[in-house]
Amino acid sequence: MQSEGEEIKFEEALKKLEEIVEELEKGDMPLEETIRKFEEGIKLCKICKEKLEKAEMKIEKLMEDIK
Amino acid sequence: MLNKRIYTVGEITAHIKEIIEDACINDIWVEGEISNLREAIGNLYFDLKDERALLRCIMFQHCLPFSLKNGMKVIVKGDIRVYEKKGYYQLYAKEIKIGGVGELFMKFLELKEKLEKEGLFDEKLKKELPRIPSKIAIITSPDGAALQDMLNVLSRRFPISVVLAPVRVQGEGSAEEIERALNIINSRDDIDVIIIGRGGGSWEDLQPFNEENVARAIFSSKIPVISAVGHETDFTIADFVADKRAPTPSAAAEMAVPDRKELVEYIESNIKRLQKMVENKLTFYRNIVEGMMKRKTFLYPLELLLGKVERWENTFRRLKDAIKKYLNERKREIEVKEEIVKAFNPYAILERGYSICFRLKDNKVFSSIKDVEVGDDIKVIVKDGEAKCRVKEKK
Repeated sequence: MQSEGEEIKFEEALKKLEEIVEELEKGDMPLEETIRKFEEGIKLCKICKEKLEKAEMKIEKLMEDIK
Repeated sequence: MLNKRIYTVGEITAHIKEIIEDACINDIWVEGEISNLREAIGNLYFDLKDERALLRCIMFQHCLPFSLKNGMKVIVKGDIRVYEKKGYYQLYAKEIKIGGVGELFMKFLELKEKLEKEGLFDEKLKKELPRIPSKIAIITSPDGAALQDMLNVLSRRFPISVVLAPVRVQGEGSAEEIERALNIINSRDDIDVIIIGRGGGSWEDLQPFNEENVARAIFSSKIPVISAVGHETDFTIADFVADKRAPTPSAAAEMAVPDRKELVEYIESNIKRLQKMVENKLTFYRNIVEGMMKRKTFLYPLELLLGKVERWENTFRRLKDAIKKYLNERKREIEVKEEIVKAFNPYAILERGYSICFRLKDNKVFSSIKDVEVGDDIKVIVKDGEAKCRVKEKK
């Protein structure tokens, strides 16, 4: 897992998320493990979403600046 | 006297010869210009002349260290004698010296040839004049018109500080003064150009500028030298050695400094060119930037994120699907197991008409007659209820 203060990069988070999804899609993990992985997946999803939103906002702000 | 009788040609000529040779016109020096020069069997025949007269000359078996030329000014030493056979008097030359301008010119040509061979006139060794000197030195006579001419031109074209090295520009010792001035100026480090020169004069007057020591001093000068001696038509050794030859002192001053007005115009035109260049560059880059801004990336910047958003959405959907599917499958598994368990449920047999008996005292199922005693209370469960009973007897 990512250590504190060191922000995970979008691509990294997405890649991790995809790996988790692939594991989950196989469907052969114990329940607790599955839930744990799912929970991690949801966290990564949130991180990705936030990063995308931030990026969008930044782009919009930059475009405002040059208008 | 002599006129009382008739003479033969021989007699009178002999008489004249006697008179002339009695006058003892011997070992005299005569100056004149050579003409009608010819040579035969080792003897030289020529005429010496000036504006007023002509004198026939002959030199027997000469061994001069130089060759004579028509037009040369010479001094001839010899005796005047009469040549009876031809009926004329002539100078029997014993010694000839190149005299006046003739000698100087010979010296000039010799020195010129020598220095040229040594490479003192080499164009490749000539120094460039600085475009804008900060200080120039003028080596000339402080009293000459040449100095005034140069100062006038300098103040008109480009006011500049001038160092004057006052020297004599003609006569004995002037060449040494010029040489010394060149050396002294070269020991300074604030002079950018040297002008040496003088106004017009006779060929003899210009001689210091034909001296070898002056030529060598010019050649070894580290500072560029402009030579301006006499008039346009005068050429001196100094002119050949100098980095630049100016036809006149005024022209030398013009060469040494740029014209202030022209310079200002030149600078202004350069500023204009510079501005134009910068503007062009700016327009060029502005067009590039504007072109970039019109590209899709900047027109629809959010499209940059499109792929990432899609990938994220996809993955998120897959995550949700995966967990849903996983949970569904687990649930389904449990259900199946439940069915199976259900199938083995002892209560299921009740449906088929069996019953189950419990001991009431400990609520335990009993399946053997040994497990109950007569008088025990028991519970009999059937498919739709239970009955409490007492054991009456065992078999």
